Amino acid sequence: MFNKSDLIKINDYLWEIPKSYRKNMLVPARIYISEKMLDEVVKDRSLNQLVNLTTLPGIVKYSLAMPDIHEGYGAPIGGVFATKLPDGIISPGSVGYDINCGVRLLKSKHTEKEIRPYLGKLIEEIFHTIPSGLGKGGKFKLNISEMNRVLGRGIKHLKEKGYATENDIKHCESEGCLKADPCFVSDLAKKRGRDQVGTLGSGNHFVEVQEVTEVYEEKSAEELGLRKGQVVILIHTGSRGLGHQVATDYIRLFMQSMNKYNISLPDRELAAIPFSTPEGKKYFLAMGAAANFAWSNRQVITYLIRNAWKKVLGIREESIDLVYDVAHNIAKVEEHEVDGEMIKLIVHRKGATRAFPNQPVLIPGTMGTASYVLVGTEKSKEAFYTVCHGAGRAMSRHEAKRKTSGREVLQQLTKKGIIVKSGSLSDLAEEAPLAYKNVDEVVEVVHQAGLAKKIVQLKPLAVIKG
Amino acid sequence: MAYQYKVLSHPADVRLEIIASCKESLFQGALEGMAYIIKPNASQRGILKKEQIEIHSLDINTLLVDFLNEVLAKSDIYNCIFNKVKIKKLTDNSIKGIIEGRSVKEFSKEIKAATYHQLNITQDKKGIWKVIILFDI
Repeated sequence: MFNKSDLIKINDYLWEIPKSYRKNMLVPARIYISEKMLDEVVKDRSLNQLVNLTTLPGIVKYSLAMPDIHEGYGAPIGGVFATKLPDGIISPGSVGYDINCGVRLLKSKHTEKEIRPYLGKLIEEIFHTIPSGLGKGGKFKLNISEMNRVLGRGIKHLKEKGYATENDIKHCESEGCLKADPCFVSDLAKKRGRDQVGTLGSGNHFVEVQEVTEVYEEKSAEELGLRKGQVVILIHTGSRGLGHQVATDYIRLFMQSMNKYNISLPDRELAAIPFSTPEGKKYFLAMGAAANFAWSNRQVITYLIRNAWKKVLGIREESIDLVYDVAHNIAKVEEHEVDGEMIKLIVHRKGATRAFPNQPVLIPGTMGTASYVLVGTEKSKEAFYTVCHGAGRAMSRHEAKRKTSGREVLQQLTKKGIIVKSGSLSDLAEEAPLAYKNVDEVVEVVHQAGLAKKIVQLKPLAVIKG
Repeated sequence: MAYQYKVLSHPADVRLEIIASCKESLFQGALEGMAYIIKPNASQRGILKKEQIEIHSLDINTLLVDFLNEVLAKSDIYNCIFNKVKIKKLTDNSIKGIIEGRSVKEFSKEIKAATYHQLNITQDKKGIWKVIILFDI
């Protein structure tokens, strides 16, 4: 465990673990956090995991942690680092098993007052249309050639099939399509994913109908088409079993290959090899395919929501527009400034969100708490243009269930006027707001640190838990 | 053949501790423990499913995790909870056998993967095997 005295305070929201802290560190480690929140972070092993990232061959500048950091496996959740192309490493474990787990925000043209009378029926319709929970396949069964098209072209393929609009593509990170090769995705992964497009999954995945409750920056909110009182829909899910299998396949392959490239790491789960190797290139293209699958998953969910909206409210489905869609478990090749020079890097974000200047950033809260829309700033270049991805867990699932019950969570949310649909009361307890950090404090850190600026606050009206 | 397993706490995920009298029991215990996490008290009324498995890995540690991940993939594809393994051959880097389970309507919890994080199978002086596996939830 860490002592706070091991860290150097750079400013009120940025701390550094110097390179001298451990012999095998190649660069320092940095964490964006307030002093109050740091007192909690030092209690688990997340900072040790952050330091482990600094040992990865080819790493530049520093490893970074966002204020929603918590202990994971290999890399911490909320961990960011970049390695230099072509020989820096790529690490599937530092992307995570849920490749392109991400968040998508849809906006309606209606206010909370207008939607309230239909809300119960609307959420019921969405709950029955979009399979949540586990072992529940979706309505869309992909044959092998359809699967390969989804993996290769993401939502661009879905547009040709009538499930996406040009506007959806325009407002999606990387236009919902990374460079990919379906040939590098195993048959096992494809089998796992064949009925999972348009499904939520479980755990912390959700669909929430929300209301814009605060506007912090009128002009930026207007540019995004957001205004106070407006009803929006937030979707959180990823690449389901297909992505899990791609990660599993490549972490296994990388572990078997590391000796060949003389790489030894402090944690097996960090399994990493140079990007330029045949294995590295294959993973990058397989990861791209899984990312395309995740974007397609969120797109088909959007399509189903539009249909539910139309069915319940009897209005045109086009009245639900995409604000933005972000990935928060991904590795990307990007150009960044290092030592005054623009160079190509492989940026790994595990539980962290890309935040290019003026790009919308979506930060989901927990059931019953606020979510936020921010936009990236130029200052965020110091963080490889990255911010947090959510509230971040503060306690284990066991502890959450010791402190509350699903029934109690349901009662508390109902009392607040929030409609909740969930297949499992037990999952509700595990995902209770008390199990997470205070999202307002997390977002305030990235806002105050200047990495992104708050645009609007959203609060839930109805929640569907996976 | 004796084993016991216990689900342990973790800030974000779930850990499973298995203690067993022999290597075969360690694999059986890990399989049963994982099945318990996915669906505690799963009904035995579903359709029986048997699947052959053959896995080769770097060492005993990675073999155990690779075995569990193979089972997870099959669980996902067939909507089955596999909780028994009939081992035909087990070495320090390979396993061959048949897994058995039953179909279920849905799972209670999604395990994304068994991880290699801080994985260390040990055997004490009395011959007792022990391991803690971290599952990404």
